[in-house]
Amino acid sequence: MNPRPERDGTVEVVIDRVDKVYPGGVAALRGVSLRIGRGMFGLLGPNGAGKTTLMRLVAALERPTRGEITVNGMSVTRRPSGVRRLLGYLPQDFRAYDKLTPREFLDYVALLKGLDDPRRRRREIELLLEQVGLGRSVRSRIGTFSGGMRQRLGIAQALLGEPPLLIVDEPTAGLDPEERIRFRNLLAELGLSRTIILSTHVVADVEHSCSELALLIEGRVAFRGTPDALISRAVGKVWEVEVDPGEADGVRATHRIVSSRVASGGGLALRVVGSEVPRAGARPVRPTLEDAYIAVVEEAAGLGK
Amino acid sequence: MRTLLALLAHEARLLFTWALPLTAAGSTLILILVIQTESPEMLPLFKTDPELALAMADRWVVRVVELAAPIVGVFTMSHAASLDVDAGTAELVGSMPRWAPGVILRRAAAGFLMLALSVVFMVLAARLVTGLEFSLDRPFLALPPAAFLAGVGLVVSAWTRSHATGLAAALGLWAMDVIRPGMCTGPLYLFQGGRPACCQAAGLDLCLNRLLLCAGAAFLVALSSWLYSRRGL
Repeated sequence: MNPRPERDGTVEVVIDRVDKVYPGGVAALRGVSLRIGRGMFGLLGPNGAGKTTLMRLVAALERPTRGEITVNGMSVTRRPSGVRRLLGYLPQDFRAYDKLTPREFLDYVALLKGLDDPRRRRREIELLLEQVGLGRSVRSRIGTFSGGMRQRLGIAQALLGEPPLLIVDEPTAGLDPEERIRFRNLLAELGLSRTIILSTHVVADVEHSCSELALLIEGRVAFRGTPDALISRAVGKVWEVEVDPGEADGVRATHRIVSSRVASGGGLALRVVGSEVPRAGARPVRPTLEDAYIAVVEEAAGLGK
Repeated sequence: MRTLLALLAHEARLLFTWALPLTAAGSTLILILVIQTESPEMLPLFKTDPELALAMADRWVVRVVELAAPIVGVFTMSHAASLDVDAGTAELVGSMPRWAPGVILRRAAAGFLMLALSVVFMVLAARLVTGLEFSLDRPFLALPPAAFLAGVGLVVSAWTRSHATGLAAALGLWAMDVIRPGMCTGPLYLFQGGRPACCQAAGLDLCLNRLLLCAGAAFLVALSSWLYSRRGL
């Protein structure tokens, strides 16, 4: 057992055949096994796939029904506070106490994390506020913050105490494109020196920042590998086809439409996913990660054509 | 110790609402008005029988403080368990390495300190304004029932996850005991003059009653902490 981070400051999370069944028999996770090391690891999946449940299990907020999760060999079930000492967590629906200023809030969280040295606390808080771009808002109350500012405060609190493991659940939900890119870049930077698990259903977030990913569908791991490996699974399954507006429904019956736009000729230019040619004149195109994601989701749902 | 004090300061900051100074100031004002109204009766007594005059003043101070302190306590502490009732904040607090039930214990401690300070303020302000040097010990006997009622509010709000329900339960019990002293509370009666017949028959005096209230308050805070740490995380 090695409860401390490795020499390079990272930790390894091992999820071994984990099931989670909620009272009432709802199975959120079924036999999930993953090994996650340094860098940014993306956890993709549609809503209800079990991503948040898995995040909560790793953060020792819930116990698995079966299987085990360890962080650097330390069992999340048996030594939850030991695991939490290595952890920075940004929950899906992050909120903070509206009446506090960001400095007060971070000081409170730092104390809860066990940062007892006031000088170290103050130094870290000032640094983090600058790092996440909230240096100018230290006197404003959190209640006056925009969604983006709150999320940045959320990542700042997660980084307090320099945890080697960061878990961020849907961090870009509700952010405008500029904030989203900024946030993604910040996470990617942080991933150089620690283990980050990013749970999201926004494919672009994973595409631009994660070196590895797992795709969860209905509580099972449907894919695990690099973004390129996922893309390669969709090669030959993505098509562009131009149809009359009335014909779109026919294509929709056999293929999953990823996007549609008005073509120069007046018809609809569709980008579709499916194993067969949708109709004469369709041309295969290079898949994106989003196409590949759709292809795997469709395949798993038994709808892949 | 420094860490604990810093945490208590944050918890007090989170607990603080304007209801606390408003209730304390309002009660102080009522206390001063009551004493001033009773002054024509009391003041002549100071020349002839100062002890009786002070006893009268004491009686009024005790009555007003023991009516007001529970309200201050309830408004201060009953939302301690519902401050972070939303999933995000609850998860955040739950993911911290510090012992989860400690949150409520610290909040209760901070709330009790604020309550005690409010009572000190009420008594000292009334003493300063009226010039009557009434005793300081008896008004502080109002703290155990205040802590007990705050505990009732806390446990109900921790259980229902709603501040309003906790507030309503505690204030309801307070109102019942004002109208019918000791009827619902029995040996845990809240007001010094409200000893019910059963307690008189059993020889349960005020001292034992205050001890029971303190023990009850401690039990309710412990129960709230347990409920808080088990709220579906």
